[in-house]
Amino acid sequence: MAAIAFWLVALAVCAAPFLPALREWLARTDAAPLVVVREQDTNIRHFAHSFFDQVQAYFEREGIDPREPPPPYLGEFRPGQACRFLGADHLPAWTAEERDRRLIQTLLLATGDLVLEGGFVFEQEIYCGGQLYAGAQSTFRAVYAGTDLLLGDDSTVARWLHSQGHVHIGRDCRIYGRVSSASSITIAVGTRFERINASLIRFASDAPVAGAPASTGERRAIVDWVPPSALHAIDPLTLLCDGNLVIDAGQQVERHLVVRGAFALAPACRVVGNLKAATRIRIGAGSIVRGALVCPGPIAIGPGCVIKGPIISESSIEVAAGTVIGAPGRPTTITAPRLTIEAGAQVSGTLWASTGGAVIAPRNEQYSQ
Amino acid sequence: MPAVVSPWVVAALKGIVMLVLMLIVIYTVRHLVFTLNRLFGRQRHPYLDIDSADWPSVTVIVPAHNERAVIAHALDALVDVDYPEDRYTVIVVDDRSTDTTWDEISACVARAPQLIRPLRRDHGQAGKAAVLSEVSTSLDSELLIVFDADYLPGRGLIKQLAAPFFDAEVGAVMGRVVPHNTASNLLTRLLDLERAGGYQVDQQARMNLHLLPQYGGSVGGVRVSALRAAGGWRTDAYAEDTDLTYRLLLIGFKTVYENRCECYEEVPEIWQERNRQIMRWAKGHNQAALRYARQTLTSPHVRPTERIDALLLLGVYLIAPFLFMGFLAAFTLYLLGEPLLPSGALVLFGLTSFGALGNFAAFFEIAAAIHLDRSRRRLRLLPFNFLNFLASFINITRATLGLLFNDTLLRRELRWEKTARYRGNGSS
Repeated sequence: MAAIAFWLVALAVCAAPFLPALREWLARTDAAPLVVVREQDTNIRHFAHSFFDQVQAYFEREGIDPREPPPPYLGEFRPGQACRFLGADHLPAWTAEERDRRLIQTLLLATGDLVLEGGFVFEQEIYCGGQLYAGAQSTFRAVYAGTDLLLGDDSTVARWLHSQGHVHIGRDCRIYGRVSSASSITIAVGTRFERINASLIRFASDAPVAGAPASTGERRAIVDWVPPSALHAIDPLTLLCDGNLVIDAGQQVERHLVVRGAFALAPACRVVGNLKAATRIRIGAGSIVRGALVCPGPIAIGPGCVIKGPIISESSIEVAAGTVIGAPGRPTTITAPRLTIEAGAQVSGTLWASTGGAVIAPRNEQYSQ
Repeated sequence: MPAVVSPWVVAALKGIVMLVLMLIVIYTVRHLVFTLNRLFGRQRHPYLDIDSADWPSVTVIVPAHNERAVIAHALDALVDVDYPEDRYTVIVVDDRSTDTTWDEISACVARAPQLIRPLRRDHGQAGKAAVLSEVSTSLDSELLIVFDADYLPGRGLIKQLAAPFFDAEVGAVMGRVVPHNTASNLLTRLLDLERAGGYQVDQQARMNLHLLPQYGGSVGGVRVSALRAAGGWRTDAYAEDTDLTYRLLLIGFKTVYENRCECYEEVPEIWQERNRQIMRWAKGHNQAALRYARQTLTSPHVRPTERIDALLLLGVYLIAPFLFMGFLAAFTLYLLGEPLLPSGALVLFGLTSFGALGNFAAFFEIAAAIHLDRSRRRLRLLPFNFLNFLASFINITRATLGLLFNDTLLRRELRWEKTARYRGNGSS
């Protein structure tokens, strides 16, 4: 009897997982293919564009012509979400309670220019059809501007910020999420960021950047680099180095380089191909790299360099003043967990610092080897 | 009967069982390490964020044989991708189709003549490897991306697949394949689970740990100069993708895996088709093991951990015949009345055997993959994966024995087999 009971229990234990399996097989609850296209991952402007579309749909629903807007009123933007339509009123009037609490809890919609006093917290999105000037020390959830957007010093953006014109971000701001512009962006020293995209991004300092572009100019004759015999070609375009590699100043490298150790490029070199190193990369002042820089370890780019291709690190990237990365007609991408960019540098394309990026004052370090 | 058996035979049988047990434990630990890495380790997606760049020139090749049900969908999706037009070409090769595939291709070409170059093959060796070999010799683009005719790439997929090639060390890129016809029947749902485990956990963990992700032949790309340096596509390989993965590794290039480069495919809907597929994979993989195991052990370009992983990957389809051998040895020992193993080891043997087989995807890998995909109710089907395990076990063993006896000893010529399609109004 005990043996029968034992086997029955054993059978029940073995059969138990098959009960939910049978149920799922016979009455499917999760049989659809996995969703594979996630545009919000790859399109930096996804949230801004979808908000813009929602605003246009709201205007259409409410019969609002942005060129001849009605007077301000309170409405409902999404079910259960209040909005304040400001029309062409570029200086919104807050209630006494809002002023006291320094807190605006409604979504704001303006068809023209908008001036927002500093020191407020805006809990919902802001749409501005014209130019938006936001005073210092405010906190925003998300902001869309139809033309230029000026963000005051010491402001915070929680999710995203987009402008169809120029974006100026003041000193010591904190931008969590995405910043994009259809034109250009200027970011002042002390600002921390995560993801930025524009055809021209300038990192600005109030003071002139000392010696930045001038440091590019170590004028010397460029000579063709002769690879050491220890390197060998893994294909006709690519050389592999199994240890560390240093290339002396003023050399021109015509091929892709793969370095299984650390790589250093002395000042005023030119590299036509892509560079990959396993531990770290250091680019000397005034060098030009037409290809990409890729390294699991840190990458440090000296002052006055020109880098055309993407820069990818799984650790950190430092960009010194005067360096130009990408070009307005040929944008590129810089991506690393930590990004440090000195004022005076310039980037065309996308910056993506997953842990955090920072704009700092030029340190005038020597990047020569 | 026990009295007449030599003690040497008994010792040999016990040795076999112990060897098999050891192998199974090694692979189980490997699966466990991968799973824990995916759940708790640092995840590597270094090329994911490249959205702006001076993109390299790309040729997409779509080999097609009797693909009338699916080819138009694939070509339309490939025309619609977000990639600079002056650097992008699609070459679709109709490899002696006997249905209306060429008509479907012609209609697509008429819609996008600037992007699609149609080719028709009616001579030479048949099959995907032969198509790739023939077409890639005359390519002038930097990258070659291969799609099967049943694949449906998203708009951003070509850029995502091209991005890793900015890394000069990358010779090949593999994306994630996601079954599209999951809802068809129990088999497709089990294959959906298996694919999830294989890609979401196994491949991505190998990427995270700087090991050897495998180029899979579709939803993947190859650097053309590296391909040529490695000797081009081999037409005598059952699995030209695995073969290329190892040849690239041995000359100094890396293969990387992009988990977010996802693309739909069709999986077999009938068991016979699935059996043929897994047998083809097993043959190809074991063929690569025979060809490259020694070089993988000795290559100066391979790091120690990468070398271990590459060897274990080569041996992945040898586990089934070894397990079969272990079962036979254990059963014989039982008939001889010999104590097999200490009871603790027996339990371990049973558990690891259960967990370690089934293509790449052990059961706990599948569970972790479903957790990561956040589509958790499908996990209920996991116990049924034992069916898939059994089918794989039998067919991999058959394929390995076939490779050893038919192909290697009798030197039979490689015969190409096409996977059936189910989309539309019938299979082909």
